[in-house]
Amino acid sequence: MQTPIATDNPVGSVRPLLPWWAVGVALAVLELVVFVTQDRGIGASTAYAHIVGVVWPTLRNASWSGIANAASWEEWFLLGGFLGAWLMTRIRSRVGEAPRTVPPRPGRVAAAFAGGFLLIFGARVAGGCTSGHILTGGVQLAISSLWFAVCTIVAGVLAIRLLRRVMMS
Amino acid sequence: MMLPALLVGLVFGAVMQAGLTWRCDCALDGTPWRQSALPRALLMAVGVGVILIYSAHALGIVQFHVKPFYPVGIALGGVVFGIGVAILGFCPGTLPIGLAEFRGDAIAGVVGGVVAGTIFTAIAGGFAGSVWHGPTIAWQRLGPTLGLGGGAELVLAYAIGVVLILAAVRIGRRSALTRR
Repeated sequence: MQTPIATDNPVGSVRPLLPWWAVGVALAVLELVVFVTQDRGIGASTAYAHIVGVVWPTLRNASWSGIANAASWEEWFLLGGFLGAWLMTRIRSRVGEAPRTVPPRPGRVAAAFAGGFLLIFGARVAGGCTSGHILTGGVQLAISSLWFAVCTIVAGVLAIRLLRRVMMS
Repeated sequence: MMLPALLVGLVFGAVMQAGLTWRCDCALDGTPWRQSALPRALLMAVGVGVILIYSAHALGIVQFHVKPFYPVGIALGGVVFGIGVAILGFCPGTLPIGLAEFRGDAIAGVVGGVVAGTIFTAIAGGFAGSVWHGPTIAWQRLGPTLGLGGGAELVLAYAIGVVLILAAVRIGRRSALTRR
């Protein structure tokens, strides 16, 4: 039996309203709609590198200006993601299936901060993330994105195994 | 620009929440990755998406937007990103979906991500010409890199799409058989 890494995961008792394959098909159709109507693909990580410059102009530089267009789209996309998920959570609560969110342990909060830091720093170094590289680049069979996917999956699987060993010891 | 992105995000967030595919449970709670919904949904999305995007391109409806290939920097970033996913259990696109449940780890992940993004933007000018970035190679899509174009590239894309869809279905079945 696997040892849980985080015990504050609330999802176990909540049923999916859509099967995994329907989510996959929906994401593919959504990607096509974005390509056709927006002349770009779905992406997310650039927003994290841009948002502070929006509220704190002294941090703006040439790199910030270079990502402004893409990041602006992604900031609105992420805001929409938050609102869409919040609405779906409200619908779940109407049918008596509200996710039970337990306050995380302090160690988990510190690990999540470090994980978020590595996540976005890695994405900016590689020029994309799961959305921009693996999904949007993957559907175009882009060499850069296929290479990113291989490196991410190998590192992720090894890191998960290592984390489980550390948690068990 | 704002409204279409917001609407796309709304659908994305609602679909990912409805399918509970917004976090990588293999990283969070020890679920074997073959049973985890997010990797399977992603495989299905890329498989169906390859067929849709290449069909649309063949019809002249869409243009490709391929990111540059700089193998050293992408490998470095991919490894760091993979470790980040393993620790956090979220991707940049699914973090706001975790935020919608007001999860403490999602909030901490967003703060860490914004700090990292801000630091990278400050040093990005020097990164592009550094040894960490490495040279950029002119390879774009898999088909032309293998010397395929036109109809042959389309056939390759369809074949890969079908293989990915079958793989998404099969990894769950193999997992069920293994557990028996």
